[in-house]
Amino acid sequence: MAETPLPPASTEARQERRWLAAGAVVGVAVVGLVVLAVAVFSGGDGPTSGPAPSAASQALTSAPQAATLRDEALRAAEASAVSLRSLDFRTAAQDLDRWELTATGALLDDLRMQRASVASAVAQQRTVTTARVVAAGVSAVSVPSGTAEVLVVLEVSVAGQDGVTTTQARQKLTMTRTGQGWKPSVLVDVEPSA
Amino acid sequence: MRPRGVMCWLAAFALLMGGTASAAEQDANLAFVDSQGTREVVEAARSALPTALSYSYDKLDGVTRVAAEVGTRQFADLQADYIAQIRATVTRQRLGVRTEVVEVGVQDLGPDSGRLLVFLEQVSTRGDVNRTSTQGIAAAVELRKVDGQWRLDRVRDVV
Repeated sequence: MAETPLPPASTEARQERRWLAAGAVVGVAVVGLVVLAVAVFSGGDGPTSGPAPSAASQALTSAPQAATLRDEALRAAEASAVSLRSLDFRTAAQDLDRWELTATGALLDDLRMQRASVASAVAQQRTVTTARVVAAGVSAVSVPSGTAEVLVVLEVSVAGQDGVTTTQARQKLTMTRTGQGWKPSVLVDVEPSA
Repeated sequence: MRPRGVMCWLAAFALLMGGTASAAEQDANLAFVDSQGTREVVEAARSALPTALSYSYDKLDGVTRVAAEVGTRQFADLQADYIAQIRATVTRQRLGVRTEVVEVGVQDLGPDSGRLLVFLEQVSTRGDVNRTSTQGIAAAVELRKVDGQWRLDRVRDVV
């Protein structure tokens, strides 16, 4: 359904579109890896310290700074979301290196911790996962702490021996300004509650 | 002297216009630049979407009334068309849909228009088979300010 309003969830159209059972097995493994619900910034390669991003309603003290931060964080979040959903079994080592370069803080810690299991899974299942950004928007900006929260919708394709499966993923990334640019410190897949 | 003066003036004009364009470009999107406006459009969406996108098979006529209350005329017309399309199916299934807003991201904000990316959760209950399901939806939501009030103008699935 492409027009107002959204259809009832049980219509045939929605059943057809949503969500194709979360893709192939390695797709699930990748999803599981990057789903973090950690709300604390820590460690990594030096994220800017400070409070968590403000709600949308928090007053901002510097409009030009807010615009710059918003746009930089948005671009970085889009690139990071794609990077952290892309994994090719033929180049897994390099891809996992890229994942670690992409992330910071708690997310980086988790990626490092789960690296071996992900590498093993993708080698066994021989899948190629790619992603592209469908839409993105900024949900919070904090100039003082140099952080932002960004919502990203991805189209994720998993190619394996059984063909290609495409799903949609909803993600929320907490972006943190580091010495190496904007990086996600938290990444959460926003799934239905039931 | 005159041509040179003209050239200098043109150069200065170009610099001025360039600077103006740059500032205008940066200021065009007021999301999080205008904190009050950002808060208002987000709160308007959070308030309007659950009522506008929730319905029950036995109260379908209320959908168009709610749409007129929280939306523009375009939105109300689209809702009316949609209800007309689904009425038979919804009634047969004895379907009820409850919509909740999970997350709101701002894509663009102008003085009288806003574009949002909204993560919704829809809980659907089919009375004919006694089954309930929950689905996450990414929606592109457009709002317009009419007479000082933010109103839903269009809601689409992000695909």
